[in-house]
Amino acid sequence: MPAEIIMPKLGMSMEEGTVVEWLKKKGDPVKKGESVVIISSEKIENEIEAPEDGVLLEILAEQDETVPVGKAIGYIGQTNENVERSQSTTTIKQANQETATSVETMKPIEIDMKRQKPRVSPAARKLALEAGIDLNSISGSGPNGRITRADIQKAIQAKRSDSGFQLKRKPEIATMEQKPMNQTGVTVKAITGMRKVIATRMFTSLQQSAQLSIHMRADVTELLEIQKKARANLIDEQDVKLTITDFIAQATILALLNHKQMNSIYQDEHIHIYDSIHLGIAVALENGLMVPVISHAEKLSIREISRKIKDLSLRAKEGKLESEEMKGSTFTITSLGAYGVEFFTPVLNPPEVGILGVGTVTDTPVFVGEIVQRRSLLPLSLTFDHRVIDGAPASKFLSTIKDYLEKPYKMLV
Amino acid sequence: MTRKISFSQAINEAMKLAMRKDENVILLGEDVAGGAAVDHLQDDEAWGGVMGVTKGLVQEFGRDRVLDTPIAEAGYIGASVTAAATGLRPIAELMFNDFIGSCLDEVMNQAAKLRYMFGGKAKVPLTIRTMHGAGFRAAAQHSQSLYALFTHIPGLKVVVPSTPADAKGLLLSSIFDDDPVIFFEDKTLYNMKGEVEEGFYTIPIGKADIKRKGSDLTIVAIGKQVHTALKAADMLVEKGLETEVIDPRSLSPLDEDTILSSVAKTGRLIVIDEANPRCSVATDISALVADKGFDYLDAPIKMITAPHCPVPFTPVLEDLYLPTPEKVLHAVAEMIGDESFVAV
Repeated sequence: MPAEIIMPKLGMSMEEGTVVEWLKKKGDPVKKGESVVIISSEKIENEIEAPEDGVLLEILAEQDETVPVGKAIGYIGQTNENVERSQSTTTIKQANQETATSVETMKPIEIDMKRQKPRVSPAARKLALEAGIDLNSISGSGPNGRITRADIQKAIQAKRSDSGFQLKRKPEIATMEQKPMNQTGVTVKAITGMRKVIATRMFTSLQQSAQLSIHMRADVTELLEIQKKARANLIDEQDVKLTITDFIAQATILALLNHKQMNSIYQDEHIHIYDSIHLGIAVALENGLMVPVISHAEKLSIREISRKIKDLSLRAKEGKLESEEMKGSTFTITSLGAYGVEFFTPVLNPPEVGILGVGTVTDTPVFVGEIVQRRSLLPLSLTFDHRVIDGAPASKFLSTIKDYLEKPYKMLV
Repeated sequence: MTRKISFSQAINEAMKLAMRKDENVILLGEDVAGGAAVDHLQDDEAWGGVMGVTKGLVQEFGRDRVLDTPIAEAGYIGASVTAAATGLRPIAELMFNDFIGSCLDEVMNQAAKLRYMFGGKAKVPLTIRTMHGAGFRAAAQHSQSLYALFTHIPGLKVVVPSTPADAKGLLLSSIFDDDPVIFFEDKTLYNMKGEVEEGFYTIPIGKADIKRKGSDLTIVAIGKQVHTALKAADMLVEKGLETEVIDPRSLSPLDEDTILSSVAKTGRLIVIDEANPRCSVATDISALVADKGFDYLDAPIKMITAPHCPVPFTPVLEDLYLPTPEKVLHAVAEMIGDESFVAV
């Protein structure tokens, strides 16, 4: 940390001193105790010695400049400590100085602090304090950017129109935004378009609901055989290639019909339970994700569902979805199976109260009776909103999905 | 019943009513009757003061109660203090407040101190009426506004009215107040007319008057400058600002509550005071608000005063010396950071 060269107090009445001459130039090496600068008060001239070994990093007060006693007139430090670095240490010093006892050394620091703070009118400061508004988050509209009472009133209004939850979080976000020190090679991108929608929806989701996730494994050994057969036999007729996803969707739809409270949304302090199932399917894109919706999914055959999923995900990737096709889902399925993930904690797609996360099928040795068999297990993760659904009914719902997947014939009935 | 009369008529009426009400009320000063012992003057030929403000009083109340004095302020102001301390209610006219230098000891060390120094047993029910104010082309020795001198001295009450109605009610309060009151009359207001109640009424000393209601800016203005403030307020309406104009009416005691609650509402304060700026009533009111109303402020306090120099004699410079509505607009522009407020 660079050391300050301070304008010393050379007499009882000395309040300021003038730099007569710098004996060293910026960048010159200096030894502790070596004279670096001559200063004068009204009566005397004095040579000031370097407080430590190093180089003269910075000259703050040029020749003939008059500065108050106690104020730094230069910095001595190591060659690698550049100007920027010494400024940051000033900031650290400011913090430390708050508890320092020496009034003289505090003086210049106080001036620096004032410069950094936003200008705020007293009335605005008081109002902001009462309303819990962070002054650093506001830009002032008054002269010299002074924050006025009207600016705070605006901020309060903006705060009111937001939800109460979000507001209280805001100061925390502000502290998160502090940049790490000494970081180079940063790309800063504005959050726009789809990224902004995702950011807002996911953040709101986690802030405004009581989410938790439960996990189960479904034995899909039989289902996979059926799927393979169906795929082989049905492919020529109607160009349908049934995938495991299609069966999971079908099992979910049937389970939702059995557990209607999962097919609901939480809005305006009310739970809205729907008869129709509009199933959202999360589709990963190159730079984001979309959730196209299969509406009235309970009325479709597995073949129609299969076709619909393929069509929607293809068009999602091509960016050709209509906005109507991405609205109104009542439950969502998301899958990370293709990336080798087993279990995860999906984030609810608000205002829905449930989302099913599908993992990768893993062949596992399993006891079937007394015999260990090679079985294909599908990891399922269900996130639900505990404000609406409790753990037991959520588990029953997940069990029902598991049951359909393990006993595929049930899906036919 | 009200009727329109001038500022000087309102003051004349107040003195007349006071003298009718209480025979202890006497009037003394230079030329207040209009020529002491000049017997050949007919009744209505008497001057009645240099501006005619006391005209007619000598005719009604006689030379025993309306006394022309020599041009010797120390003499008749001293006599007034003594008369007050011994039972009369004198109204002394110090023709121009600029003349206070000749009789300051009588005011500062006697009138102001007696009640305190005699433990309340003595009282000095004296009213000193005096002219102040620039804009009369009367040069540096007849144009000052020295109310801050008296406001600084405890034991004195200081009244500066801005309208005929206020002048009448406040003068009657002053005359019947048991403490010495310095009553300031702006000579350029004497011909200003306004609605004034007939008959006897008083306005309490120490109670400010809100001359105009507003929500965006408070202007506290003293004496004649109340009218500068009202003109500026009209101009500011066009800029979308509602100005509250407060007339303190008395500077000692000062109605702090009315000023502070107005600033609490508007968040902004301008003080208009045509006196010189250092150690003035403007700085006093500004300090009051900075001290007790800091958290109300949404902008720096602005003072519009004369420069720190004597009142110039040349008319061009005298006009520049005084506060104007345009200067108010400049101050507002600075306060809210909007250059469009500056009149071009």
